[in-house]
This record gives sequence, C-alpha cells and structure tokens, in this order.
Amino acid sequence: MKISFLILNAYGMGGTIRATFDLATEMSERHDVEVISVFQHTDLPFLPLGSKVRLRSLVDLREGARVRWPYTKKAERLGEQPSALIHPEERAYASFSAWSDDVLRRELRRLRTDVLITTRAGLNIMAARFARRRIVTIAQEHLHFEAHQPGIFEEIRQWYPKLDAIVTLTEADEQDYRTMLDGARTRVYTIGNGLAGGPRPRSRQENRIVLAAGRLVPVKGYDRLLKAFAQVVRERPDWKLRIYGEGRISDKLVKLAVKLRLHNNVTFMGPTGDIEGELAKASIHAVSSRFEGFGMTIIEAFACGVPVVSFDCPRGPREIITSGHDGVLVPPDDVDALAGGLLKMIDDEEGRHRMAANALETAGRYDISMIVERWEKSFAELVR
Amino acid sequence: MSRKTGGLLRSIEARQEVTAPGVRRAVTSRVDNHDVLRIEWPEPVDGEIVLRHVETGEERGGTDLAGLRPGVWTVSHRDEPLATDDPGFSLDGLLAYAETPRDREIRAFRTSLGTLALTVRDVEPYVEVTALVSDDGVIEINGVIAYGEPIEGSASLVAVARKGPEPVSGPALFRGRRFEGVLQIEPMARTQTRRRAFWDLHAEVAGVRLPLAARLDDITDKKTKVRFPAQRVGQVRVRPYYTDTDSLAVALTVEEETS
Repeated sequence: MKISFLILNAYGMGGTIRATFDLATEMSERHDVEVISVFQHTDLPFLPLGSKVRLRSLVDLREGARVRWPYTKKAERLGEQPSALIHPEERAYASFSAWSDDVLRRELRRLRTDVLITTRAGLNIMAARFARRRIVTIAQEHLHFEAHQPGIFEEIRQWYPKLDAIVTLTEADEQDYRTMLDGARTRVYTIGNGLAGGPRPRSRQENRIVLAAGRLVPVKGYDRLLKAFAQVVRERPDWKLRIYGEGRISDKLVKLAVKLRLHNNVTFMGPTGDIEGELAKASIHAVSSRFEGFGMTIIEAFACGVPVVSFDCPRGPREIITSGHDGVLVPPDDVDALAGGLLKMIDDEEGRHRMAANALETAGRYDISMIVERWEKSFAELVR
Repeated sequence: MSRKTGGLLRSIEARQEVTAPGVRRAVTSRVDNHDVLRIEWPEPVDGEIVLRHVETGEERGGTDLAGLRPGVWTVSHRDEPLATDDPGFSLDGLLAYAETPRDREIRAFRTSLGTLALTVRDVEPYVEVTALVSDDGVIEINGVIAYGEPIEGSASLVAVARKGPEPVSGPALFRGRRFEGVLQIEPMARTQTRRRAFWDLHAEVAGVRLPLAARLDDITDKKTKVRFPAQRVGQVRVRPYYTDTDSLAVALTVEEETS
C-alpha cells in the first residue's frame, strides 16, 4: 500500500514532526511510505527518519533556492502575496503564501497514492478540497478540538465531512468530532502517538532533577512552572529544574527565572536531539501546559522510568496518567498545587520508585508497533 | 564537557552505526573512584572490553582506566560499540569523584546513540560553585574544593580584572572541602573607566589562587544557559556569568543613559 504523509515542515523539531516520522518509519517496514513537507528551510531534517521513507518538499525556503522554469516568475510574484486558501486563523498561517497555495493545490490534484494522511487543520481542509476522490483521506488532529478559532472551525465543520476519516489523539476529541460530524460518513478513530522502538536509557531516580520539555511558548505554561519551582526550592534547595526547548518567549522566561532568583536551580538547556537521554538523567518530568493535545513527552518520560507531575489540563495528560499510579495530576492553572505535587513526588522516594516502575509498564501500551496495527486496521476499513 | 569534546562527539556519532537490535545492553556503565570502568549486565557475559581513542585510534583492552590519554574514548565489547541503558550521569557521583585529589578526570557517558564512551581530561584543583547570591551590593559564593586537598581556615574571595585595576577581595572561609566567600561589588565598579570590564573570580589562600567554576555536571556552554541577577552601582551594571570554560567571572557594563 502506498501511504503519503503531508506535513507543514518536516525539517524543524516538534511533537507532530517526531510522531509523523516515527509512524512513517514503522509503516515503511510493510508499506511504501513518503513524507511530503510543504516547506523546507534546511538541507536535512533535524529529527531521524527511517531510510525506507522518501522525503520531499514542495516549497524550498533555503537561501538561494530557485523555482524551476516555467514557474520562476510566478513563484516570485505569488510568494509576496498572502495565502487565500488557508484560513488566517490556522496557527501556521504566516508560513503560507499564494505561492504555497498554488503548489499545494497542484500537488494534491496530481498526487497518486492509496492513503493520504494530513497532519494539521489547514492541510486537512486542503486534502478535503483537492485530493483525488479515490485516495483515502485521513486527517490527523494533533491539536485538541477546542483549540481551533471560530473562523477556521467553520471551515473544519464544512470540509471535514468530505474526508474519509479523522484520527484524534484523545477519546475526548473523538467524542467532540463525532458530535460535530453529526452523522456524516466520515469515521473517527482515537489513535495516540506511538513510541518508536528500540531500547531506552533508564532513570535511576538518583539525580535531584525535574525536567520539562517543549517549545518555549505561552501554552506550555512555563511561567507557572517557574513560580511553582520557586516554592519547591524554598523547601528543597538542592533540587534542579532543567527546561529543554526554544521559542519566542525564552527571553521573558529567563527574566522571570532571574526575578524569582532561580539561577542556582533552573537551567534553560536549549533544544536537544536526545530527549530520552536527558529524561533518563532526571527523576521527575513536569508538565505545566495550559492544554496538551496529547503529551508525547509524558509517554517518553514513562518509557525512561520517569514519573510525571502534570496539570490536569485538557486533554492528553488525564488519558495517559493514572494519578497516584504512574504520576500525579494536579488541578490546572493552580501554581500552589503544582508546587505541592512536585514536593510530594520529591519527598516520597519510595512512592517515586514505585511510580517509575509503573510508568515503564504504561509506556508499553504506546509501543509504535501496537499503534501501527491500529492504523492498519483503520486502513482496512477505509480502503475501497 | 568542553565545546571541543562536544564537536568530537558529534563526529563520532555521525560515523557510528546505531547498535543492532539483539545486542546485549549494559545496565550500569560508570567510572568508579579508582578510575575503573564498572559495567554490569543483565546476566554474566564474557569477552574483553576494548577502548579506542577517537583522535589517534590508539586501542587498549580492559577496564582499568589509569593513564588513559586525554580526549574521547569509545568503548566496545565483542567488536561492537557497547550499548548501555545507563544515562551515565549522577550529580552526586561527580561530586564524590571530585573529592579525591587528581590531575586527570575520567567520566563515562552515554552518547545519543545509546553507546558508551569516556571523556578524559587534565584537571587542576579549583572550587566548584554550588550556589551564588547576587543581591544587596555583594556577590556571595558557596562552593566545594574539587580535585584538591581540603583546606581549613580563613581565605579571600578575589576578583582579578583582566585589564587595568588592581584585584579586589572580600572575606572567605574554607572548612574542609567547603568554601564560602563574599565580595562587595562597589570597589570593582568604582574603578570602571571603559564601557565594559571583566573580572575573574578566585578563592585565595596562602598566596595560592584556586579558580571558581561549575564543571561537575553535564551542562555544556553555561555562558548561554545560566543567567545570574544583575546589580547596579550608579551607571554600572554588575552581573556574574560563566565564561567559555565554565569559570566564574563578573561583567561590569556602563549603561547608556536612557531618555
């Protein structure tokens, strides 16, 4: 079976890219798999992709990149104009242009494949509008249902019923999409992200390190994590917090950490290509997100034997973490509760070891081979 | 780990193949206080450990690491890179290792491909910074002696300007391995004539200066990752920082008038 993934930019780093690469790599053992990246800004992808997966891009943003004749002039002209096909409320709207509209539409009209899996709202809508009818179109939603603005939501409501299937990360999202589809023939499946195979380093629970990871953007709630950690440090000054990732509010967060006098305890580690190696050095993973579409790092932490303290935010954490068993869920938006949860985990060493062992077991349920089996089951139901 | 080592590692990782599935993986792989590589497996295995110096290709068998030349060494077992599940990193372990006076430091670490490697570097005694306060007109430092003999008694915390003014110092105390010292920032700021000036910090006792640094962890490039609070003396902003070698220094900057 030929399977094509369409992704915004395969060359950056982030949860969606990693999940897509891992899925594509595992599927390539039995299928002909390609990843189509709308944009390309560097020569090679940052994250690893299996050698059997073909990767190609549609719009080359690299310096000196030229669009081939006869499109050269058109690309220059349209590249300056805003996108008319992508809704301005699509979170990645700024990346698109009238030129990417043109290229994307041409690609979708000409693409020959058995299954097309698109990975974000703007691309899902494009697939619903332009993909050939005999291709099975599957829209993956990495964002939670309520994260969409009203304008783009109207487009989602209009176009998603034309898709063959929607794959959500959580059961809560599956329910919401079923309600929205209101009897349309489009199927809805919940399939979480899978954990790519291979052995992992394992935490010994020996370093007094709490780890957080993810883009430094407001939704990750690092401002609240820093405030909570300031409370932790007052009680347990020998504990450290390491925050991995980069992003547009990094300056603001560094300033907040300085203001809270956390310089001896908090380090902004920057991006890493080996989050598992870093997780295994830590003893606790903290999730302070305002919402978390799924929470891949929670599963990665589990797989390294690291229990998680998380806000009980919508939607992923509560479907993955069993509070008291493999982690601790605390009321969302509550800094004191987050501090309390961290201190509880820090002080209960025996409980932490027990939860670390349980976490390893939970991670097994997300093994990529089990996740791919669920995808293949959906293909079997959908392929005409 | 120095920046140079980091670069070397990336090049090793680019050359190495990912360990094949089915290869036995070590549960523990660490360097003990006597510079012996301790490897534990899920079940007993035989076969010799071979170390290979990345830069020169020199090979050595066994787990006694005494006398290894500085640089990065890869570790293999039965002709395969040794795969390990040990993150190979303990903050307390590094502190304990540094309690012993030594001139060579050997650390085991797990590469991002999951294989075991060692870094070997020459070391000299210094004071590892464990906490720093930058408030109320002073810089206050707590630390521990690394790779040197314990010291008892009063000492000083000395700031040495890279150019120009005489050193300034403040009271300090050694209690065995522990060090604490305080430095007023005003005397440094008073001498400021250029827009920017840099002062390196040392612990001084009986005419011997020990540098202050933060090296007993795995964090590279602390200069960009650790930000200390700034203080102001008139127009001069005073901010401690870690240098390219993770040593502790203070930057003094005359702030432009803001309209």
